[in-house]
Amino acid sequence: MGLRARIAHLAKTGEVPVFAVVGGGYRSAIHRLRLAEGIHIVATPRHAAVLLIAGTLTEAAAESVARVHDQMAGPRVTVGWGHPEPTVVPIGARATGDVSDIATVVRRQFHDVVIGTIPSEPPLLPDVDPVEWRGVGPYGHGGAGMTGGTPYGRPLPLRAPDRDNLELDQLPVTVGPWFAGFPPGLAMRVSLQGDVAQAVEVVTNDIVSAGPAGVFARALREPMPIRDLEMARARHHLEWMADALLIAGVDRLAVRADRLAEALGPGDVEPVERLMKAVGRSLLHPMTLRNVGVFPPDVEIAGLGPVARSSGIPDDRRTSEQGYRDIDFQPVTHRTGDAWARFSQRAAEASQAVDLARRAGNRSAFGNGEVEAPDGLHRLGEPSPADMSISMLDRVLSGTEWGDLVTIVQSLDIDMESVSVGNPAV
Amino acid sequence: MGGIGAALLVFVGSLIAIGVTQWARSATSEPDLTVPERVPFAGGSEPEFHAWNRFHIRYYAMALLFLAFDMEMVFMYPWAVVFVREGLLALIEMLMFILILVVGIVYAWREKSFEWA
Repeated sequence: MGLRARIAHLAKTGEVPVFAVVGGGYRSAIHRLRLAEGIHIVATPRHAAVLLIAGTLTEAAAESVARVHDQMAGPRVTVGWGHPEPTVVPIGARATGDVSDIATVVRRQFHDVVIGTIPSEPPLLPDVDPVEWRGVGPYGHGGAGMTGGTPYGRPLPLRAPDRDNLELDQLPVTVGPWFAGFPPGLAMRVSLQGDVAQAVEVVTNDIVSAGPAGVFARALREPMPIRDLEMARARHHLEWMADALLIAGVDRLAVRADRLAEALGPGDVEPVERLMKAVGRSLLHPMTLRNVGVFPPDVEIAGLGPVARSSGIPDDRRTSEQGYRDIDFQPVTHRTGDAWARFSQRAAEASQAVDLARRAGNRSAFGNGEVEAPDGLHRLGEPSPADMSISMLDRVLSGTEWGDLVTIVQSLDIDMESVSVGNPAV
Repeated sequence: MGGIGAALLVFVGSLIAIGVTQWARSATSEPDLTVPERVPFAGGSEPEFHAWNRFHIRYYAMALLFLAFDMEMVFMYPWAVVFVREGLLALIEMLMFILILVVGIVYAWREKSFEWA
């Protein structure tokens, strides 16, 4: 047994590191895959051996997915999950079923590629440097000494005044569309000075195509049972909380939120409140969320659902629905309007939703072209809440530190599937 | 075995260690990476600029204050040695010294030097 074979034997017994490219209709499914035995969803392709392409993507995704594919260290394989033909990159194996199906396929492909029964996939992008090195740069970079070496021939950062009016370097970096801290499909060009984002520009919105219509999309045209709507809302908020907890580095609580979202039934108010208590005991509030992402008063947040309600605007289309009035619905609000208020708001709305689902009986609501979805008010033919959030990103993110920027973007709950292609912000 | 013997042993041992690591590397390493494989991960986008950039170290005021009080602690060592012999006089002198530095802290506090800008 050679050294490679021994290492392979060790590797194939461990958890499968998976990098997930999440397209339309599969955000929730990825949360359930996180709970599967032997699957570890990682934040960068550098840690991954399996590239999972889930859901529907447009052709515009091809290049970024290929780049992510190439950035995985070998041995590597690509697996598709509910990703229809034509695929954005060649796919080694696929599954269309539920979480246990895809987990089986992923584990099998990983096992096979590690022991060498299937070959590791070759790179997809050509071995060409887009900015070829042409000798010593204008500031001596690429020359001898501290700045020596061959830094891909890229120019040095721009210069711009910082907040103390000192002329310092400003480094524009495009982050996304598959950065784990952003909603899948969102790419932003962030001009960084140290860790302060001085300017922010959204650069893509046509990468994730909408998946099959969920219960809220269908409620635009036909009345849906309140029980289904509210259970979907509670699950959505719990999965959002899991994302927020993952970004904050509280992985154990994130797993707990995902577990709860998977097993949630009508009337399960108490487990949701217990989870929120555990979050309250963590250092999330004092360390990362307090006073983060309070918007200036001229930023229009009406219609952004929980984001608006967490700053004290009791705006909720459910109050004008007979079905909700029958079961005595009152919108929850918070006052401070920071990232912690948005977290508490969604936790409160999740526990309220499971309670409403229990009491709803067979009542229905909506079907008149206006729906209060978990991310805000959807109206037929009008810009979605995600459109509104995208349009205000540059104003609410400029001048924030990088860590706060990621927190704020996540706290807005942007669903790239519902962003209109004609959004003027992009 | 004298000193030379021991040195020889270390030398031969390190040669073997280098050989073993070289062999392990060649036995496990992948072929050379292509350009897209080498590019740092930024979520699927290409870097436009070289990442070498100069930025403001915002804790420099805090760092200077730390140095000042670090030196103060150094002065306290010789003071502690003569403290028993000099008695009350030494105590008063040290209190004056610390008082002057405390004025410095109050000033830095007012200038918001302790806030992480």
